[in-house]
Amino acid sequence: MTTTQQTTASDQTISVGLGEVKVTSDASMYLACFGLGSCICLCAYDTAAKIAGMAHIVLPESKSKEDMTATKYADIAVPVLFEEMIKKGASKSKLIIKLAGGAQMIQAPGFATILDMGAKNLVATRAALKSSAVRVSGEDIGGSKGRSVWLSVATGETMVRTAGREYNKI
Amino acid sequence: MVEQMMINKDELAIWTWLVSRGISNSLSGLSQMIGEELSVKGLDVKHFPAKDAVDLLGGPEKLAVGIYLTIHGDAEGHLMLIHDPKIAFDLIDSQLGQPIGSTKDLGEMERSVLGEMGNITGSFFLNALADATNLTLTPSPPVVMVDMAGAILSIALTDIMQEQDSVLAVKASFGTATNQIDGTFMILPTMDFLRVILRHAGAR
Repeated sequence: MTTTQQTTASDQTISVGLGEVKVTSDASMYLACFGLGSCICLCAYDTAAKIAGMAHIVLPESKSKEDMTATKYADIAVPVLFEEMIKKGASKSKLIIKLAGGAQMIQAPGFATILDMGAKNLVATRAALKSSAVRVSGEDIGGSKGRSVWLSVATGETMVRTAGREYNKI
Repeated sequence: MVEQMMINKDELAIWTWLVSRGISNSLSGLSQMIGEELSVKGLDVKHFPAKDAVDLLGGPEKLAVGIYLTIHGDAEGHLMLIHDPKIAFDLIDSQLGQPIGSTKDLGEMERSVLGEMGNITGSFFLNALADATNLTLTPSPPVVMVDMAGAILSIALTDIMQEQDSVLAVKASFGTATNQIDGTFMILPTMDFLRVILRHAGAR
């Protein structure tokens, strides 16, 4: 069965909701973020240990750097995702990192607070990844359309589907 | 520190009464626009973790047509009209006087029809709220989009989640007697919006 066919089976997906971080080594599953707009889906995969992690980032920067439960923020979600993966046996040096999302959903004037949230989320996520000394190896970002993302725990394959379009492997 | 949206039973009753009044006024405006009597088929006022709010729309991946407006003036908030694409396209055909099934996508003319629906819905809803609270509440120009329901809803949720992790979502389903033009009206207040409205409605 191909990834595209498998991703439609909801019993094989662990949904990662707004502001959540999830980590698993269950090779029968996919981690998935559905209906991303300006949010960022950060995917991390340890190719040796076959441990997968995903963060659904909603906002760029937290006001309090100490509240590690606030994983809706890029600057908290990135280190928490890596910590959780390392706790499960992953090695940071073996992580493959991919990014998707960060769309600018509204391009009309008059929506200042939300107008460039996708771009702000991308900048903050990249800054947090740089602080964690990891490099992004694939991405499907920007634009003005929603996306869904699946990460295969068995293979690390990452697929993105943009609204009304085909799957794209990143 | 993230605040949670706290509202007591009496305040919830007043909020529900206010939005019912607003939605009823909106539907009377929409009925005039489409030339058919629309009525509320169901009203759901629920306190949700923000991450679960999209379940109200049938899941995050479902393709939807969204008409989005922000609320300005004495309080800030978000209004959305969400339609199944087929229903939105049929509605456009009926408004443009063309055979049902003609509209397959949203061009400038089609967006304008839906935007007008948003204008009427937003203005009539806010007029009712403003009358009841003596506040000045104005809608932004509407933005029309076709996208995944999760992506459309996240526009409002992103703003709301800057202050809180839960949302008091109002979902009103409406339609004609034959249920041919049904849609979902989502009202997503920020905590500040609720605070201001309830204070002016005499609940705080």
